[in-house]
Amino acid sequence: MEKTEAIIQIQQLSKQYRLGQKVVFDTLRERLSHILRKHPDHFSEQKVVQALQNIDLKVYPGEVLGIIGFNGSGKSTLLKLISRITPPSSGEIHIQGNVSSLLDIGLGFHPDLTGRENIYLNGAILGMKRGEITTKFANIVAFSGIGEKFLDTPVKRYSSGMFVRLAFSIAAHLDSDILLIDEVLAVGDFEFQKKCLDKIDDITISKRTVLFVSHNLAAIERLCHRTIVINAGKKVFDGETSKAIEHYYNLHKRQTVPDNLLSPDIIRSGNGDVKFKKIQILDDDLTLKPEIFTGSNFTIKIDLVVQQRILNPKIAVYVKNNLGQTLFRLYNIDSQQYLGCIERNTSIYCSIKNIPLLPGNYYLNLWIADQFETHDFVEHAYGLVIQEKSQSSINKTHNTKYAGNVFVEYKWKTI
Amino acid sequence: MIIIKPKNRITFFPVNELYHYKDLLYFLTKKNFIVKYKQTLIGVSWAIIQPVMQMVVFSILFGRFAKIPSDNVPYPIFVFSALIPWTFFANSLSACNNSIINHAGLINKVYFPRLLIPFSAIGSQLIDFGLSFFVLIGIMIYYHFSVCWAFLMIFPLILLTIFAATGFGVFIAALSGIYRDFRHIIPFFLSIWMFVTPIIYPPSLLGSKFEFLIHLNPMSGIVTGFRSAILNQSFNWTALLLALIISGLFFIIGIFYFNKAEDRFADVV
Repeated sequence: MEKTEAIIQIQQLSKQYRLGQKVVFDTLRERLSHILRKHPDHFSEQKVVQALQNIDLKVYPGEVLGIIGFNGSGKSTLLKLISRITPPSSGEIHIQGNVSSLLDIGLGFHPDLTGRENIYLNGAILGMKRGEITTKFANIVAFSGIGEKFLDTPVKRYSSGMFVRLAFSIAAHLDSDILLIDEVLAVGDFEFQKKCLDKIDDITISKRTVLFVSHNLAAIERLCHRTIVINAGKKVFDGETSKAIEHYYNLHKRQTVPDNLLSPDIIRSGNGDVKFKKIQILDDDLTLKPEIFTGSNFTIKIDLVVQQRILNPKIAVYVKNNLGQTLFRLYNIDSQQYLGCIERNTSIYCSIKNIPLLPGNYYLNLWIADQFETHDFVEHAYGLVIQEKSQSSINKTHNTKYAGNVFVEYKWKTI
Repeated sequence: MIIIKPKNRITFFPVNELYHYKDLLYFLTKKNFIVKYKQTLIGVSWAIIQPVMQMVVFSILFGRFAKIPSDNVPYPIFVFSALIPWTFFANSLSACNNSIINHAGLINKVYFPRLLIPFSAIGSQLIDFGLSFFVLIGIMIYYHFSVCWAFLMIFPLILLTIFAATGFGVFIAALSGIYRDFRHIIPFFLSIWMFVTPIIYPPSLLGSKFEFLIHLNPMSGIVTGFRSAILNQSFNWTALLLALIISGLFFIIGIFYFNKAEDRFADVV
């Protein structure tokens, strides 16, 4: 591999955004007042965000490179720079061959245009020539499975599933040397996602170079041999995918603040009427529990900040493995455990018996809502480490790839 | 081999690249045109109705009641011959005004020469422009106007109108892409511009003192040029030359400013 020339070569690439730039220069008045004020250190007052910092990267022909990192870590910025959507602040990118970027699917799709018209428009936006689209047209329609009779129907009459199928189908028929893919697989039903992954497998086999950004670690593991981890604008890991995922997971653990307060820059959504403040793992006697073993009992204590009283809250803890797959959830509506009315800042508890998880790293997502809308949703709120029972007879394999995540008691016999 | 560096785009007018993306220009133009008239009852007829209604209203208000002189030709044809280039020009500028914001979703997600956005906005107005000539022919037949050699001047004049619309349009597209204020400025700016252009009155109405001043507006030269070609009057060559020079100047400023601004679209829009 060292002998072949890199197809993408990135040297000391950096990108800065001026935080608040959108606000500061969005209207002429502000621009004018900025000029008139002649505030010498006006710029330095603004916070400069280093979206990417001195990235060096070489990608070789035929490689499928995974890119992972937290939200806002700069991984999408990297793709935007490579696809020329926004220019870098410093550094260089050299690319041999033509690039297609799939940062989204269905770009330029207009609801009033028919399926046929949108295929041509979207194809052209993705860089295909008219003749090329005509040649591939039948294949695109066949792959999408939307049926000839819908071709001359405006896409606003399509179901969202059909829309996504058609959009992905066009993208799947690009045959540029380099494909940049960002989170495209986050859409569509399961069946179609599988089809997309298979298609990307085909692309991989066809010796094309793919850069793949995703939160779907299972997909990354399946598709990429090599993966880089980006954290706070820097490349912190470059190498084998399984090790990269491990590295990424270790970052998670570090992100949780020691006293289990949710860190202020955590990614959250919801209207904020009720917010999660703190999460702790307690023992049966409600003291802090430092270690959790497979099969042990413990209690999750969640502190809430309540701005607005909430009646019959719906609250759930999602337990995820390090590939991002939900293993199970602790949802008070599933188990019909109603919590009545929450009026002021309070703590709620959820106790778990015989946690059926094999040793390994897991994390918890928290969600609270009322009948109408989400109040707070926090991803990666807590990194849960399950340790091996000291004198256990259970499966000692740590590799979840083969062992899975769930602990089951079983016995083999020959009779 | 593509090399991406800061301040990469120094090419003034990336002809090769625009040619490479000509199919995209075609499909974007087609989209703009289809979308404009989709789900309207009378579709593309609106392209004709707009200038015709203006002609009728102006003929009654300014021709009949205000008795504005019209160089001894029927007022409807006098005003319509000027409305043809003006309607195209004004509609192109309004279309450009919103074009960058309307395509924000694309700008954030995929690369293509951004100039295609205002170009396609103008391109989709060309069809309306063409259709208005059919109305003109109808009116000329009605008033028994015959076509003479001067009418051939209409072709270079059409090109000049497109050239002017492109220069101003690209400039406005970039401005409103970065400063949202222009979305509000341009519509009323255009209505003022219309009245300082000799559309409803002949330039001679202002007297020789202001005639030169009025021709600093390139649309002034273009509009009177159209009128001369259609009504077989003598051309004001100075005005036409001035229109060409000023349009050219704005074309350069427009493209230059657009190139400078386009790097920021993805961050700002």
